[in-house]
Amino acid sequence: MNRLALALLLVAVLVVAGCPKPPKEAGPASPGAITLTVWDWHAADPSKGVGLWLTDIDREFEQTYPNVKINHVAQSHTEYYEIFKAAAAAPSPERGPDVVMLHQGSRILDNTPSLTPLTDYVTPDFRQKVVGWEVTCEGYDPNGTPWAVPIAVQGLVWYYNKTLLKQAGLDPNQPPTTWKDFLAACDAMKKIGKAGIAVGEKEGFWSDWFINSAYFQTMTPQDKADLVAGKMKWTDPKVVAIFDRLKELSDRGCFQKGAMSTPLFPDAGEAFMRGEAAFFLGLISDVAHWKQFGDMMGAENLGVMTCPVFRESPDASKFPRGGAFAYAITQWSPHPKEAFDYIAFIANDEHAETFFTNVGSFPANQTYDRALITDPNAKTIDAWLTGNRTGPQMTDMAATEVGETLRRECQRLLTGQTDVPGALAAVQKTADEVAARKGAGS
Amino acid sequence: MSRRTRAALTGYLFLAPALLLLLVFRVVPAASAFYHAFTRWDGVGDPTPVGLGNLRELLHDHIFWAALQHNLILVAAVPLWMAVSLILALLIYQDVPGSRFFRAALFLPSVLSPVIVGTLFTALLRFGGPLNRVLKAIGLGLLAREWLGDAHTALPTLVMVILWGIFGMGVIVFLAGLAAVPAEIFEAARLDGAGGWKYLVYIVIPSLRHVVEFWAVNLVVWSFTSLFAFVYVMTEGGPGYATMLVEYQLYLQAFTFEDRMGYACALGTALFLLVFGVVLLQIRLMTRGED
Repeated sequence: MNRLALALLLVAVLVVAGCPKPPKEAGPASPGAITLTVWDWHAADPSKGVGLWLTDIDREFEQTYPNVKINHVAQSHTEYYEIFKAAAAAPSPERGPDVVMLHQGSRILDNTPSLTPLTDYVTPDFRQKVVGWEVTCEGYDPNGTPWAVPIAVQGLVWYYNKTLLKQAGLDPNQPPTTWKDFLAACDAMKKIGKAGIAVGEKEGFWSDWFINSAYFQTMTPQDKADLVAGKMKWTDPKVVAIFDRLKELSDRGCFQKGAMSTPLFPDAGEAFMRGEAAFFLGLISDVAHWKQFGDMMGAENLGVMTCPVFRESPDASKFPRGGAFAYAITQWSPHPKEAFDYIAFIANDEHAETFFTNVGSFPANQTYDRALITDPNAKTIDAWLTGNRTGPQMTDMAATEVGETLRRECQRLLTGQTDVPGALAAVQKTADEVAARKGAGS
Repeated sequence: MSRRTRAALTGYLFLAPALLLLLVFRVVPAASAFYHAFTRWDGVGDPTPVGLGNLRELLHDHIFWAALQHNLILVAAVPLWMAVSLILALLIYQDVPGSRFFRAALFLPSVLSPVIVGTLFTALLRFGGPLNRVLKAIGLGLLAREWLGDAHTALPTLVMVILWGIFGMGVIVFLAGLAAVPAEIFEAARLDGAGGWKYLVYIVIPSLRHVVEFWAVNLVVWSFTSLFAFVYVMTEGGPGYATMLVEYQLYLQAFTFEDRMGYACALGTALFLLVFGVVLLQIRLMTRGED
């Protein structure tokens, strides 16, 4: 072959390699004529937990809807939104997901240009039986345009190790409820060579959780609304009081050593399960929750409580709810009806029960049989959930950029790079900048 | 078709695949980023022109300046990164006992992905990790600290980890350079009594001038543009902004925040111009007086 022919061949190969592939519908899809691609971060481990639950549901769905095939794709939780954004920006996003798992709150409302409004699919009955619409609907209004269907109920509660409390001479059945007693309990832990709280602050999320857990003591629902609307400043004394408590925990040595470089998941939770610390600010569903801890430590050795009270208020004993996962349909999906059938299938009554019994997570669909709850800690949490001892998270409506600044400033605060006024001034500055940009863009 | 035209056509056709790839994956994205640097854009919808708005914001962005300062600290570490590689290369070149083994062993870190290196050192450097345990075991417990979780030590620690990750490649580059220098030059210097520091400064480095220039330019570009994986795995730019680099800030703006792709493009454009300027200056300084 002469050189010219070889060069022509090279160019031809390159051109062919660069040709677009046919759309996914063109391939052999039998027996399902439609393939729904589903993205989530739980499918990475289909052998247990939510991953296993979803795998079973996929199989059942394909049996119930034989014309639909589910292509469940696991994506990394860490880079999930970056990958989703890249998919949305791709020239052919329809090759990406039809259905996406999203965190409730700003993660959904930040991505509405890439989602399909579910107004035509969500029936009044369906809306009635599911909770959490206030963090999946337009304007954080439970009656607004729904962008995603809540699947789980998530929340932040404090877990404690009864065995360690007993070892430190404290009453394992009477956890500290006041701030003063809580600090004393942390001191008692140090005396027996343990840490007060297992903290993972590498990503800054623990501080974010603490702020959400504690804000009911200083702020009213109206204060929170004002903070989101920019009418109340982050430098307000009510916010300062929460940050002061965060700083106090650090200064008092309540955290385990190495907390600033410890990832929250799974390291800090594992430190708690290993009995290295007495308290852990954890979740109520999915992971780092009563089931995981109870399975490892024994439910009888685990207790659950709300944030110790440093300032009395009517809502002081509430815990924050939100941040669980929801499912949405992408704006480019050619099969929105089938996609919603799939989401409704996940959220149906039967799967609400298996979600609790198999995964140990509280379902958003409230029609499950509460007699299934036998774990003492789960019973306590459920009693709080149904007994009006929950409220929204403080930061769930904050712009992603404000949340990022908040977490980084908390890291700076805890490592002595700034003080409370400095940290909050920086958060306020970011909030002002975001508000100014939104004002300019609208 | 004349023989000359035919030869030229063949040459261009052989070049075409490489040029096409360069055009599609380098030139077009760079031009697109430059265009979008003057817009407000979410990366999905239509961009809105904002003129020099992003540039003005960048000039007042304290995180950008902090990140740039950290990048410059990394540039300042380039002589250290190079010196370690050069000294090790010289030792191997002079056939110290076990030099064959060391040649392979020292290169090993270079074949590891930065993600692996970062993960490895994150585990080694954690508070309860092996390094602190060794320090405590040998009576230096006072030195044990949260290497990556302390704002004072996070960036210097990162510099040392990067050194471990890249020095092997530097050793290979310098060994290749040494192999190209006639051995008689080094022998003559030895016979004339050159040794130690003088041998290094007056004989070795001038003989390797072009290799040093090449590797220095590479490392400087690298310290601005290729350390993302180390930061991402080890510190995520924290604690706070203590290890924030411009490329990591660019990533946060582009993929984490809402509606900030335009600003991320402005950061990328600024970074490109900055690196381009620094490298031009560096080459000019290094080749000064060469004629």
